Amino acid sequence: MKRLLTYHGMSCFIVIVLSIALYLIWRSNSPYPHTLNWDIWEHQTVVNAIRNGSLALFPSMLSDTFRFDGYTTIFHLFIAGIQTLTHVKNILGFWWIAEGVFFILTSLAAYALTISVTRNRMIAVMSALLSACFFESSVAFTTFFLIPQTLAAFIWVLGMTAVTLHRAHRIRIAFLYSLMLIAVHGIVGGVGAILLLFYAFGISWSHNDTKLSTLMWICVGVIAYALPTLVTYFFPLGDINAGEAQYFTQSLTQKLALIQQWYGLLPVIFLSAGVWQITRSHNAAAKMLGMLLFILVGFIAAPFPYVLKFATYIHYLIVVIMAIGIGGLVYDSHTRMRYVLVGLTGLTAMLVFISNTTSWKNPIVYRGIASEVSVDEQQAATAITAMFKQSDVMLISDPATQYIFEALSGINSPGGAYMDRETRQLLLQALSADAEGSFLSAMAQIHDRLVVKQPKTILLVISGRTGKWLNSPTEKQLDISYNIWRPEALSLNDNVILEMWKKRYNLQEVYKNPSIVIFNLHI
Amino acid sequence: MIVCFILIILAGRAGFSLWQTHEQHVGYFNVSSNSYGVAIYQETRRASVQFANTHAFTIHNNEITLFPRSNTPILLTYNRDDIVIDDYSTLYTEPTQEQLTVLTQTLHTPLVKAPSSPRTIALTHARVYIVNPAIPGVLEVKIPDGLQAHINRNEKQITFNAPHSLTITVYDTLPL
Repeated sequence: MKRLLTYHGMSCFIVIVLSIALYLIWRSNSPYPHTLNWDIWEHQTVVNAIRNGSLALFPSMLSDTFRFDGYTTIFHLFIAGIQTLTHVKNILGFWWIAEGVFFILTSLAAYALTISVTRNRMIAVMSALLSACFFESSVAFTTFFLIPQTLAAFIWVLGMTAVTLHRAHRIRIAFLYSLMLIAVHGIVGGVGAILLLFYAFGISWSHNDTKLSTLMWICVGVIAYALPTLVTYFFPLGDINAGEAQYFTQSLTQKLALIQQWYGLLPVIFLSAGVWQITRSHNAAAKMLGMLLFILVGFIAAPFPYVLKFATYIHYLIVVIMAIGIGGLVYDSHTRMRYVLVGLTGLTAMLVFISNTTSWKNPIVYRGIASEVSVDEQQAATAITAMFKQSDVMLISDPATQYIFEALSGINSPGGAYMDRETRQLLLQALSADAEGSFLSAMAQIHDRLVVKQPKTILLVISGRTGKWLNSPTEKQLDISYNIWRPEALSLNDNVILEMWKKRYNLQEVYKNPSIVIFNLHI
Repeated sequence: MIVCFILIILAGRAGFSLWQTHEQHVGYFNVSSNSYGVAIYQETRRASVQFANTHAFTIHNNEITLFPRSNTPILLTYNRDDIVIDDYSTLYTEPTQEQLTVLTQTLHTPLVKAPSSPRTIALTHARVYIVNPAIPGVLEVKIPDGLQAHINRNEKQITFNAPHSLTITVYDTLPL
């Protein structure tokens, strides 16, 4: 153990320092405790339910924000356990730190997988640096977001590393990790489990024929593309997750554009170099990684909904194989030149990182801070928690506002961001009613499908986002994939409408700040 | 091989170009240069107030100082729906009655409407406030001493008679 620490200590230290530096760059305009992860709100809502004593196998049984169960509540149990043990009160702060720790662990995981395959520290450090620089900023979110699919990918890499290192028990280890993967994420983890078992069985079968390797990789890649393509041809899959999936079925051109945004043009040379190196090597583990890469590339190229979620696995394969490619290219160079070339490549990867993350964060920058939640919203959520936490109330607002408020305040909402079409229509009908009676009648019909007894008190939360949502075209208002992601303060026009509603619906204001007004309705 | 690495380095230039076009943020607003001058705006350039003939700007807290191109006065162009008020509560534009009611309630003071013709009139007070009803926040334009400013309500422009730097202060609400 001591020898192991001495051998890897300095490399891991470099990886940790670089990861912390990149995390701080990522958070440069999103300081503690501001979050950048839109998905955490639905997970936090389930975590809140668990912390309040509810327990269920699937998230949809605990929150109607979930309309499709792709995974169990294992992830939420794990988070709820940590939040309870550490007495977390600052939810946003918890996620800020948790995602930072997770980011460092993903870099170390890339290092571990690479060292297990190549036994070369320089290549492993390069792989970890590439892992930290490459952020799949759409659908996959491998490194910066702590969500079930990214946790599954992290466990997968640990499993791959363990299988590579412990050849004597590899099948047993692969089965153990497969169970963990499926428990964390039924779909992404399930595919990960198949890939891990394939790797564990395939690693035993070693061959040194370069042409055979190349031919096999191309064949499996084509099959991985053709199979899901045929499935989507015969069975329409756009209805998965009640229609949202159709917005996450990108064309090949869109996928290539995303890949260029995530990795720049670096894979064009270094991934090709890596693949070439592997086909010529006698390293069975590396050959299997190459095969998995071709399978996954073929798979994500297919027109399958949410298929880019599997880019969480590709991330690790790409960084390992690219690092092998870089290692191969600089192998014959003089030591000093080798460091210069590796350093320049690292610098370029950091430029890709800055370009990718800056363009991703820019649309949500609000008052100089990149975050989906403003300080005003945090204060309003804290205020209503203090006022209504123990009361029998329901919170209603536009989808984005109620999604955030439900997680931060712990007060239930009808569907959060995934409010169903009928509820959206009822809310729009209520807010355009011409008298108090019809307004209250429409509001009374809005309900949470998991709650049997409807609460008698409703908190109507009107934010700057609500104003913008109400000004959106009707098809957008009813569209489940459309949200006002950026925080908004109340404009003069919003205040004009609020004044009108106050008079027309006889609304009782319980809280107000520049971005939020909250009314208390008794149904 | 070295050529390959150099090509890769060049491919990473996207990061540099993004740094150069980086937006700056003041309160609810963003500030950035464009080919006409400097624009102060919110998300996706909605409700942008354009300051033509400016070549540079500096930001200090909530103040933006705009510098004119030599010999050309700065030309301010506001939006059709913007509300323009001076520091003596004179209203130069025509908001809706509902907007006027909310503004009066917020300010706790009645607004005095400037005569609607002629359409171009001199701004006689030291400060002018621009409010876009669709977005939060207010821009205060300080008219420099010794400079004459006119508002052209047909063209939605505020003109100055000489090139001089302008100080724009960004507020969350009207500071009247």
